[in-house]
Amino acid sequence: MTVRIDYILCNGCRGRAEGCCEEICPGYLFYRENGKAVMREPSDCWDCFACVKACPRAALSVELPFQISEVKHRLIARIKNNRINWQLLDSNGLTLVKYSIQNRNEKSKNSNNE
Amino acid sequence: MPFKKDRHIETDILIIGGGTAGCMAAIIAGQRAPHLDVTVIEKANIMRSGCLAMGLNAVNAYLVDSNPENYLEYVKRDNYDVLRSDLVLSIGKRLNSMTQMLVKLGVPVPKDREDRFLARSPRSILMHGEQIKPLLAEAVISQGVHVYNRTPAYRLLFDRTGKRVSGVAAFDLRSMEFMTIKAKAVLITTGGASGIYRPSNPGLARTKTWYCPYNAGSGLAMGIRAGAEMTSFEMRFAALRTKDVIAPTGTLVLGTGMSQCNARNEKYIKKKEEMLGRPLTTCERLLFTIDEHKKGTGPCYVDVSSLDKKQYNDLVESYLNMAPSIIIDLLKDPDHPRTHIEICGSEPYINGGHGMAGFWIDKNRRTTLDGLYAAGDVAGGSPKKYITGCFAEAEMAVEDIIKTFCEIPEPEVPQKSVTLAMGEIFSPLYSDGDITFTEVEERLQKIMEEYAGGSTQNYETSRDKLVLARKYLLRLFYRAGDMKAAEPYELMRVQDTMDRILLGRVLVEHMLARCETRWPCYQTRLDFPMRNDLEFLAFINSKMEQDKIRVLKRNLQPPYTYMPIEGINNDSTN
Repeated sequence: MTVRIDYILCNGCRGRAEGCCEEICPGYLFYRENGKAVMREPSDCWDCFACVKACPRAALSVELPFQISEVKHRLIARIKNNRINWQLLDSNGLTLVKYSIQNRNEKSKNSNNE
Repeated sequence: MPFKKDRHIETDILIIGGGTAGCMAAIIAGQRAPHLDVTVIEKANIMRSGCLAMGLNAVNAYLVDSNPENYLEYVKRDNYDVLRSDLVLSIGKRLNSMTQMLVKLGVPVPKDREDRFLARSPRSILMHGEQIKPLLAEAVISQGVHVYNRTPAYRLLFDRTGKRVSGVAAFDLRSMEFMTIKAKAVLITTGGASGIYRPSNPGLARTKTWYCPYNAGSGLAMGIRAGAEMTSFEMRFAALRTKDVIAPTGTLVLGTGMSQCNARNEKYIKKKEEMLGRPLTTCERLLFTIDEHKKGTGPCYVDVSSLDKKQYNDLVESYLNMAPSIIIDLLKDPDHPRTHIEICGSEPYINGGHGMAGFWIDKNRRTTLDGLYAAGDVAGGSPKKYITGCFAEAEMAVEDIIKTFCEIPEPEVPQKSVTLAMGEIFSPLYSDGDITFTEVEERLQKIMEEYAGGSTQNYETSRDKLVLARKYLLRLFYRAGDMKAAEPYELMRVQDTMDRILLGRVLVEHMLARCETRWPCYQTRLDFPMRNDLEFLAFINSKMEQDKIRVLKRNLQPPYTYMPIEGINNDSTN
């Protein structure tokens, strides 16, 4: 698995014509089934984090496929007020490190989809 | 699931592909020609599509203490003299103004106390470009440009004479509508191609590639099918990257000032440069890394153990802005961050932004097809243009479109060609074939990897292997017609796979024609291991004529006249 979907947090973006991850993924890899996001082909994921950054419920995170790493840490990002906040979590969900980086110049807030 | 209905749209300027070059073209067209109707069609979603989806941490073509002439000199040396000097110079003149555009869009580009951008090298500055794509896309939308997301395009449409490009045929992935978009001027700004060679990683990690895995080169394939002249496909591009996660090494080497070393801790790149008395070219850095492996002194690393805490943090932030997943590996044990980062070569790609494979264009970015312009990664002849160069090309194309707009006739597309395109695009839905796109894709990658110089072959190949590649690819090309698609996503993948096979075929013909080794690794012929300036200070080009790929050779200097080409039997099996 590359993008991990937390099915307790994911609500399938109820009320939206498309889920946020479904809308943004450059590979068109998501669809919804029974009110939850599903990734149709995890091995086609580029790890671009577009879905992670777009998810309004912070339900998505990226972990490295086992084929290239035995570590089960995962990385999550949230965008707020011209900054992006990154967190590296271990397999128990404990935060290992945090980074906060300015990602826009102007004061205007990041769009909701991002 | 058969298609539902069809939809026909008309516009003044049509931009195919809303990535780096496409978004900038749309912004500039919107700003400078507000009276014209501008439309972008995009395979994914312009908010996060193309090469910049992840973000970007540096502008690699910005002239710090340099000028366009020096930029041309550098690119020329790095490219062993074969390139379009006119195109590269015209790009060089606009690199810095394009960087200012980025700042205006809202991308944070850090400056020093004297108000200068923070330089990584004479041609590279730092950037916090995590939001670069959303910022570009928002600017496109604010110009009132029509954007059609999830609309992959696969066929160019021509006017009644059959000579002038007047639009494109596509389909909507969500509604499954067949779409045609007619336009007075068409600018193609799609990507190059990944997925032609076998990926370095297995299984779930197979798309941890340098180049965007969703770039199928469909724009190039559209042009080839329509008879456009293509250039320099034999010069593939492979990047020197961190191993496995395939993150950039420039972030390590240029960003931290650390250098590459082999398993014995010898700085093999520095040593080579001292020996030769000059900086290495980009492909030599890849070549000499592979040489270390061959000598038994591999693997190779970038050693960052001497960075202090702040410097290491800067490195992590740079990666988060561009290739975040490497952090999972670097900070595996956060108290002891990884200090020896292994590097290797990526799989080869077809690309005109780093390499120079793409449409043969003139100084106004017109292709050889009337009415069709090309900019960015699909435009050939000008390597090392990176994002600012892609922006510059987009600007030049749009300027020419606006300047000549009143002379352009109304687009007219005969119904017959619309029906034909629809049939070609939708046929996999009605196929009773027995193979999947995954099988075909993997077959293509196996052929290319083993016979046409993949990374496991150290990028090397020779005539007899290429002749076999040609034979197997042709067989695959016809057999691939049996691919089946049941729903829109599969249909896109089937069409992408068809396009990739066609590109592989063209690539092999180009590699057969260049009987020398011009760019080690990017183009290595074991049977002709040296450069041959007498014969090959020239462009290898190609054109599809009646379903056959015809190879052409053009002089290096303007007006780039055709030259006789020997030893190439264009009509044999291809």
